[in-house]
Amino acid sequence: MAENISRAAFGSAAFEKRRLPIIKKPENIEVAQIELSEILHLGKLNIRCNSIYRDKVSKLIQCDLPLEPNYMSNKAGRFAISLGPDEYLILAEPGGENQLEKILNSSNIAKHISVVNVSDAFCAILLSGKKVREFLSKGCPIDLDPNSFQENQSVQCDIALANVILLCLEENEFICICRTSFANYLLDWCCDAGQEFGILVTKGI
Amino acid sequence: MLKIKCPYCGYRNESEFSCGGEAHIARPAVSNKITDSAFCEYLFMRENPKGVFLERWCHTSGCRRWFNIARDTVSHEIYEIYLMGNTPKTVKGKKAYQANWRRTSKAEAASKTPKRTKK
Ligand SMILES: [Zn+2]
Repeated sequence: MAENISRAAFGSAAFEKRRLPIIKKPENIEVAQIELSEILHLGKLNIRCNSIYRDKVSKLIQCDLPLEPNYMSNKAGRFAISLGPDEYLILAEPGGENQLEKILNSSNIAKHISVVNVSDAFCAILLSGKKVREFLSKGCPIDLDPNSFQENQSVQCDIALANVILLCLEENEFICICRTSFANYLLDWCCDAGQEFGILVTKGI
Repeated sequence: MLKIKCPYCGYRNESEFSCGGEAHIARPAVSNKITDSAFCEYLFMRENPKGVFLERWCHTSGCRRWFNIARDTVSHEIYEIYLMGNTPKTVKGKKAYQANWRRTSKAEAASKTPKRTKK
């Protein structure tokens, strides 16, 4: 089973080469106001399906696929994010993506949908802290005001030069999903941009 | 910077999009039945109007979907945004679509699937 779990290359590329925790803050701030850590081994599945199969897929994965792009739904720790009119990203616990892949590929709609395991292509970072919106706004053109970007909303955008998917979990808690190959760059950017608020990078769980 | 309304994501900055050039260029369905010069028109010739232009755009940094825009090349005003596979609905968009030389080109005529004749 162990070899089925995503090795989430983010760690190896960006996190494992660095000595953690990283703390960067100005002298006048006592506690870091931004916390960043990797979500290790998070399962990620990319699903392409026509809207007529949406309900069937929702039933099979036991999590409702959102109706509109840039929204997400979550159930029992699994997330379904809408990436476009017919494209979805599913986040599952480590190993859960294999189980979902099997269920979908052995179902009677298997030939009408596309299921791709993208666990190792993307990495997930958990960002939290009371200044996190201000911090992200430094590199992101999206309006991150708490009134316009709320819980269960997701957005695909650029942070600095990296293409990311941002998910809002709580008012001050976000998941940021980026390409594994951009993780190093994004981590560098976060350390620089977060310095004024105080940023703490810890080992992921 | 232009604010472009992606049909799926809403208003976003122009920097998130990439332009794919002229829209409504149909590939000849029977390319071996038309002349080289007609195929050249399809492959290389592009409209370059001063005024309304119908273009393809892709929301590269967002949903990665393609769609069409009717944009004025002088003022940058966007008259219409419509989905792939559709033709413009606004008066200015329709006019630009009809006025394009391509509508009467041999390559476009060859892009329509030939009618089957009964044997
Ligand atoms: Zn979009």
